[in-house]
Amino acid sequence: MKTTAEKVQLALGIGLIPIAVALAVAAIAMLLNKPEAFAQHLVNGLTLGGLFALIALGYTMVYGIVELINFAHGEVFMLGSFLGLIAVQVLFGWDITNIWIVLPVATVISMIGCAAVGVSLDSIAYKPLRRNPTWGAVGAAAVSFVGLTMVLRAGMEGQMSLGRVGGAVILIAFAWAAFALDERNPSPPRKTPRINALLSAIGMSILLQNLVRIAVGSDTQTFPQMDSFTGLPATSFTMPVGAGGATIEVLYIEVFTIASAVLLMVLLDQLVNRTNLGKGMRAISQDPEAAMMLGIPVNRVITMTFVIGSALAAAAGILHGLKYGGVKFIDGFIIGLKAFIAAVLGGIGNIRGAMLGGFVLGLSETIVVATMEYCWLAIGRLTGSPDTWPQAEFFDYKDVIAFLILVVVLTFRPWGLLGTPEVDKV
Amino acid sequence: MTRLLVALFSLSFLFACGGGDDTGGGGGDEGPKGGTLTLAAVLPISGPNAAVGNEASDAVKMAVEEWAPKFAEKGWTLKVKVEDDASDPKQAMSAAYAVSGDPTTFGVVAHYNSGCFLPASEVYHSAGTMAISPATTNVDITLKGYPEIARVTPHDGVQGELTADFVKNHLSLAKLAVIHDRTQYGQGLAEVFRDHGGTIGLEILSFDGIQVGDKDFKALLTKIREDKPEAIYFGGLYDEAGFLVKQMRELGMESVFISDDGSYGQDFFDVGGSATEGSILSFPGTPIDKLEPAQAFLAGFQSKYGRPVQNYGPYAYDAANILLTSAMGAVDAGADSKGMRAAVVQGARAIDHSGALGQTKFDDKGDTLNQRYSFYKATDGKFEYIATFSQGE
Repeated sequence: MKTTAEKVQLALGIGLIPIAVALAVAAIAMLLNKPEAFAQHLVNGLTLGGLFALIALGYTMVYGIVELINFAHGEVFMLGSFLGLIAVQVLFGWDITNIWIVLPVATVISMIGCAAVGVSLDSIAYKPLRRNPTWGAVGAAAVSFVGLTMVLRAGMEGQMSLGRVGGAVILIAFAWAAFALDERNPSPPRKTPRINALLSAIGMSILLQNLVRIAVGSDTQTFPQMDSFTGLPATSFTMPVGAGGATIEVLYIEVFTIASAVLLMVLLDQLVNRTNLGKGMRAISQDPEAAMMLGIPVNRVITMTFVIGSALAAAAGILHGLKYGGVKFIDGFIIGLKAFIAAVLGGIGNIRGAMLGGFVLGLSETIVVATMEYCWLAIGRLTGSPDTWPQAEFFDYKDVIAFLILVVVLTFRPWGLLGTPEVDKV
Repeated sequence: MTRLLVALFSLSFLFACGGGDDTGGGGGDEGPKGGTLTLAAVLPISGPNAAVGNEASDAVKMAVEEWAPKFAEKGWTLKVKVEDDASDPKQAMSAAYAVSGDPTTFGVVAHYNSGCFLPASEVYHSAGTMAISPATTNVDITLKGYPEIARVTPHDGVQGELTADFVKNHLSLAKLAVIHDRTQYGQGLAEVFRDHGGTIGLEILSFDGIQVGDKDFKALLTKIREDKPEAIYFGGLYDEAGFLVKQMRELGMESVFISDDGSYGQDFFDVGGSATEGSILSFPGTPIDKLEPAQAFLAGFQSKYGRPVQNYGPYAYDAANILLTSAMGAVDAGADSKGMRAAVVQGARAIDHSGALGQTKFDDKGDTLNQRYSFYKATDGKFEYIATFSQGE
């Protein structure tokens, strides 16, 4: 005897089969007839997916370990973009424009800054909910945000001013102090309602957004584009697609984005599966109390989780700035939300799931939408009167389509693509 | 029940008192001839638009000084009163109440921001005070059809039509894709462009919406690229406009990018960078150095205040002059201070004014018939003037 839910699933599944078949056929037809458009959509989707995946990792890692949805993570991404921009401008000010020097240096600086922000964020907003607060640590974290404001505040022209260096020192030193002070906190973990942590996260998100708005201003800040760097022969290269001699222009930044996303993910995957730290993370995600009894430094591992997640967001922030050419205080909101959805799609708490979810979401917004429109127009041609066939503006509804895919996936696999059913933490 | 009655009584008592105060104040101190007349200006003297507001209020003061002797001959003292709205709707409301509450106020040069004028217009309407805006462009402001509300600037609806005409007649382009940002402003404008463009023979290949705050429009642009449009019209604001034009060029599209006054500004260049080169943008009005009838005013302003006119001075000057001309007409017709406001409303709405902006007449909604938009080409990070076109003149 089947339950109603199972019947609904079955009906939906049978209903979806013809749609899926039609889309698959349309995708192949599009690949053959319009190889340029198909390849372009694929590149667009993979780039977008890489960005989503990098940010999604931060959500999923924190959730996997402390069962908290860190909604301020999108803001860390936005800060990463700003800190990277400042670093690039400072280097440009010193006439260092070689991309192979500037980008790694800026990325490392931004990663360190964001890691400090992530640690402070945890100290100020989440740790006091996990156990009795250490007020010294909360205070130190607050001071580190003052340092962050000083870094951002010192004008966006990118001089290496005393205020900026001082701000950076304060940011990092006090974030470290917050972590160190809390290490000695002897109080045992406590359970607070999950909604408290969620509200705390949303509050921090609003706080960080407005901190940047006040420090920098609400206008878009120009991010240097690939043509202002040296060390690359051009900003794009021509890639042949298909057999008919068709080509598309691929931007180096798109290659960078996809390549660094994949590289960072491989590194992270190795870290989680091969190192002691990774072992600790996996142990805590299974059972924090048992992990503590076995001598795993739970606090330190949780802090490291925030550090790694924030550093990945910082990398995404720089790539995002380079790709789009501008950064604004509100930028973390929409992309943060989408990355969170990517994490859910892949199975929240599962690291490989977040990577997969990011790419699935990125491709849904581009190539799946394009295929749907192609399919729709093809049906129009089959009816014999393509001129009277209603125009469907699929691209107007790319977000709706991406979310529909999410709904369908979660109907069949409520735990996400790679999540495991027994880890029912929501 | 008794309580309700008491409440009703006290309420009606309050209203009666309020009404009594008004008539008492108006009738008490003025005879049928002569007295004080105040022209009010409510403009952003502080806040983000302070520079514009100060210039406009100086232009109003200049007009009042020119008219004061003529009023003095007829036995009236002419005064000017400037209130600050700081571009803030709340402050605009209290300033509107303050100037309307003064019984000597016969007219208001009112507000720079649409967001201020929209709520404050209710106050002017209920007080019966003629209010003419020197700068607001939102279509809704005049839609209520209040006789007391008018403006000397063109409104947004005209923009789409003039742009479509410009694209056809001057850029000689025929195949366009239209994108909008799904806001009241952007989508409204794009719809006007599409509909009017269709009637004058432009081929509109597609009509799509994007999300404000989104940054990646490559999926949509890749689709549009298939249609090979000669130009893309975008109804929306500078951020999305900058990202769109940049991603168009990245995809190797060479279509002309055409947008509106929401994209006109430094931010468009900040976001779009070198990809903005050659884009066409529209902006209301005529650039002041191209405004023939305004030259006398520009010279007068320069010699009086020791600085050149930047932007909305001529508009404020004309708005003030229309009000002052109407007031003079009312004085000549023998109006007393009680009937002054109503007489000014009648006079202003029927006016055919020859001023710094050229010939200004109002239609039955209070919009000027002198609707001009100018077109600019983005060149080296600057907007280079192309031409000005008008509708209904």
